[in-house]
Amino acid sequence: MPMKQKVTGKKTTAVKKVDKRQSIEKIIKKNKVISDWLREGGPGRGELLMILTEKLPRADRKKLERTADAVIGLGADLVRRIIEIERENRQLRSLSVTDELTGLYNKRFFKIQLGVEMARSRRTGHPCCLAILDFDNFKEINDSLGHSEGDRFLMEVGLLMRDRLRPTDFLCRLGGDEFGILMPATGLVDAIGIARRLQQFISDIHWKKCIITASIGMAEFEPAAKVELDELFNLADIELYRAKKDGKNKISYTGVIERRIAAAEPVSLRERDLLLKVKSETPPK
Amino acid sequence: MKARKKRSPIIVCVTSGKGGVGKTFLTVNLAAALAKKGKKILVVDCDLGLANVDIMLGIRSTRTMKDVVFGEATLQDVIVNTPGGFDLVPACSGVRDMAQLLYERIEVVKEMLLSVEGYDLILLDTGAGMTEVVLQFNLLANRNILVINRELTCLTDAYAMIKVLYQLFGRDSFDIIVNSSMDAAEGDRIFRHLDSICRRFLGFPLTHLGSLIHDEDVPRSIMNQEILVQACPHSKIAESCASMAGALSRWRA
Repeated sequence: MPMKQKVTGKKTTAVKKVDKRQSIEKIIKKNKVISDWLREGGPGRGELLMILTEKLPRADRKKLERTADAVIGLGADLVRRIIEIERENRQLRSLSVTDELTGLYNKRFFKIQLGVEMARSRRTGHPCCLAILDFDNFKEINDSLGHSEGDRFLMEVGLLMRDRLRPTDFLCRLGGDEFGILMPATGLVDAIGIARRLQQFISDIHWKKCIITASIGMAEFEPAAKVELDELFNLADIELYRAKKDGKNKISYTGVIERRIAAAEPVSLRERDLLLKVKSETPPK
Repeated sequence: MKARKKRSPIIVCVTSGKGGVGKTFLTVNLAAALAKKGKKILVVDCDLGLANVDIMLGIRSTRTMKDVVFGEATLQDVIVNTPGGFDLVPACSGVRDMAQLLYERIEVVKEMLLSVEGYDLILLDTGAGMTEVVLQFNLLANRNILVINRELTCLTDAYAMIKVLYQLFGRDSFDIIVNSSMDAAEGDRIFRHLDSICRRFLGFPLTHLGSLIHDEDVPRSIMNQEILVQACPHSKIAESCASMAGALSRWRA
């Protein structure tokens, strides 16, 4: 075959071009599956249609591009497209874990990373801690200075808070004026110290004459404890609620011993009834 | 002249579960009775935020446990002498969140308590309730004294405290003092009652350290900021305290 082509020379290449074009259209026409795939809104359309081509004339490519998700030529084109797609991918991935307003991590990332840290704790035996922080008077900023000022506050204070944490800690915006802090390989007492410093830093901020305070709820993950991710998250949330109820600008947590007491077997009714019998055994005066 | 023995003191925690049972009154009077016997005693008011011992003794101190917790002083720095012949680490009244702060610094405070020298016995007067801090002090101590009285709620709270300390931390040795009983027989009865339930459900006996008979002198001495064992040394209560102090002074770590 190649020999024959060489002999026929230039003439044949021109014919070949025509043939190729015809053949693509022929193939599409002949093959019902492919034509269904390429038909706009057709029944056979899948989730993603990518066509890999080689030496396809521009007009044909254009035609295919109308309905295919991507038409990629082999060689340099392929490499360029892979780089493009990977770059896009990364951007999308970061968008899906980044909080749009503050540029911090978002709640989705917080939960994913919490799972990672819990697994690490189970593996290493070191506890990890999480804190949920909520500004006590954010509504005041929003109401008196407007929502755009509120947004600016969240953005700037969010970044300032991140600078006050250790490089290994994760600060995430969970939504509204609520932030989550994940402290890997940190016990409760140290975590409380970090939270206290952060709380102090916040209460020193004067945002256009508004005095800001924050309430913080904390929870510790004990590697030995059979606590699931959502349970742990809820523990911190309950503590935050307690901090708010206690009068705001508070840090709330439950120590390990208190948690063990709560989980311990209480005084049974049988024991109680017997204890109360002391009355009947005490003779009247 | 013999140099003071550098033996670390026995740490005794006085607790009750329920509040208002007479822990602080007992701690102060036991300490005074022990001091009378020539023992070097240190009382540490661990009821932070709601200090009582200094008020009972009429002491006003500028430096308190607060400074220790905040790391601004060592225990030695805040120790004061009292008219009872024993030394005191006073707590501070009305400091908000003190109990929380203490939790965060408990390891440091514990270390300081364990390294105190020059005393025969340290009495820790804890706050009411079964909080983290109260339990930490109970666990730190070599011996646990539980103060109870005839009130039903007091009895159940004391039993709950014993049960928690036993089940979660394996403590199975408690010394019971029955406060404000009608007579010695009632004190014995209340003790035996609690003891029988402990034996039955938890499987270990309790020790009866003594009973204090109800006495109208008690509220008067508290009002006058006097130490009863000194103000009325021949009262029944003073005698009971002296006999309990005798038992305590024989304790070894």
